Amino acid sequence: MTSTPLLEAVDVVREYRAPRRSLRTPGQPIRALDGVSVQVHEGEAFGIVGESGSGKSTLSRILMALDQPTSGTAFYNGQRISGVPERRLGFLRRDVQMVLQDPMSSLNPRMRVADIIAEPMRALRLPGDHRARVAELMHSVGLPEEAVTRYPHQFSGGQRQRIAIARALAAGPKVIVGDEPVSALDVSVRAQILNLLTDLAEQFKLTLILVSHDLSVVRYLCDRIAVMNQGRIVETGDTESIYSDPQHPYTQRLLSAVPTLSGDLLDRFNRSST
Amino acid sequence: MSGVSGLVVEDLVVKVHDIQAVKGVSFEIGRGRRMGLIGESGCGKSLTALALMGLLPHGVTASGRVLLNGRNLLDLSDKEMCAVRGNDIAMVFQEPMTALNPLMRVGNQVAESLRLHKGMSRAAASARAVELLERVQLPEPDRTARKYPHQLSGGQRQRVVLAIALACDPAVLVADEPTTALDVTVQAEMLRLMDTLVREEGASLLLITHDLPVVASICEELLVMYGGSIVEHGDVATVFDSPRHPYTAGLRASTVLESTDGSGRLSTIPGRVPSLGSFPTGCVYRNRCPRADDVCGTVPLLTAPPGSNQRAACHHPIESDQPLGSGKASA
Repeated sequence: MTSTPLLEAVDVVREYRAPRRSLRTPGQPIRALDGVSVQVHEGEAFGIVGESGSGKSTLSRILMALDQPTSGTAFYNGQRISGVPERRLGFLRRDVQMVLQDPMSSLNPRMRVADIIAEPMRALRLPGDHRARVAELMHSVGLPEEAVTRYPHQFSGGQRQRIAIARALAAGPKVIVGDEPVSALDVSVRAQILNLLTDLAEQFKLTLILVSHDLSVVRYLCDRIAVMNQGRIVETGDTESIYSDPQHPYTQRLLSAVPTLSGDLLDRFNRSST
Repeated sequence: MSGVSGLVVEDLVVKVHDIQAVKGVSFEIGRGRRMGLIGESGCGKSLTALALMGLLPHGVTASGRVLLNGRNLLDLSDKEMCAVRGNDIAMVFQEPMTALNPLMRVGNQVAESLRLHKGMSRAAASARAVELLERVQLPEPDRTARKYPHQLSGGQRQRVVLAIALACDPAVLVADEPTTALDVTVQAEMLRLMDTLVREEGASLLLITHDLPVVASICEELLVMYGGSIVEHGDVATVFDSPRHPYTAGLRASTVLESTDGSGRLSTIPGRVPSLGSFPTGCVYRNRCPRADDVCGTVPLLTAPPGSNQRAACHHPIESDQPLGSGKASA
């Protein structure tokens, strides 16, 4: 790749301190990220997969400058974003938006949908007719326009996730980071939201970063993936080549643990874990 | 624990404030059989489980028959049901953090049901609890028994819940989304463990989940539920290979994320699950079904074609020689 990556992490380490066990000694440091380097290019759909505690959410937060690395640096469009004060990150806040797992907790229950979707534009002081933009976004995510006066609890789970997606699109971002965006949804709704994300990514030329433990979702949506385990990226590459021919033992074990409709999970899993 | 019948459910109706949430469900789980119950949220799966356990919340009532060892569990008094629950029929819940008592050591939580149902002494129950924790493959069972739930990982907690459920050798084990909160490798280990233990104990398993591949991994038979009714029933492999009910076909298609219709889009089920009480009359699925017509205004019966045991409640079932999602199904 010759072009500058849109988002990049270089040798990022993030340490947390475990709660202290005695009054005299401080808690042990825990490495959530242990020397992670990753590049995400413009227009691609990049997946970060791993199990709980693997560091996948921490990595996504550092790529959005929502968290600071202990050492190492994150870049957006070649520009350093780690250790930069928040007041100088306005460009990043506009360009990178997020969709979270549970819309019931990511949408303010006391705000009407119109205000929820318009909030990023207000917060970033974007010019233009916010109300018209909200109507346009409601249409893009397949919600009836007249629903803007309703509250989040008046929608189903799938519709709430559509509201969260509309809010993420409001500022006209270049990158959308989804942290388990479909994990809380039923299968039929999950397929609807995945279709929506694919359509929107194409329509608005978005770069997608998908953080998920659900390997089938990542496989469907992403061009390239990074597999994380214990704070390290153990394998990275084209989605199809990793799924068809995983190199790292951890990736092999992870893939063998995914149940399928053919019902051969226990056979496969027994073989890979012995 | 005699009889080969296992658990028999006949015409189970669960009413939430006079609205039928479960509309006359009948099924039978033979001794040692593993049955999956699938459907989306709001289809009545969990209410069915709670009705079997006699754990329905206030204002929700069950009628019909739930037969276990020749007794109708729905006729039992609260006191009698307490003697059955945890002893003859036990349940594994989705969220182990809420199923376990945070202030009690896990060993004592396993021992509790042994003391209650089997009348064991404190010492005997504690010793048996450690054995049970070992059976569910927890590391260092004697040390783990002295830990509190918050000191364990999610997978370990779920194993403790399973140990409690299996403590009294129940004839029937009901598991409601037992692996949904777990990572895939932990889930695979948990499924393997449930598979082994259920086989060894000869218990009947009712596994409730919205995750079709999980059912395919450890169950033999399958019930598909929608709108409080069973819409399809049969062998797991047959139903997933060639579903007859359009709802099953739709669930299957949206689960298999590889299956796209040429344009690269995933097939979905149009619309969404109606809220309780707003399902259509007649066939519960007809407002979302690509095959629905005027006939669907009457309630279809759960029937199998001759020479098959794959029952579907549909006026226009998908025949196996037809391609999946024919007609408007893929639109």
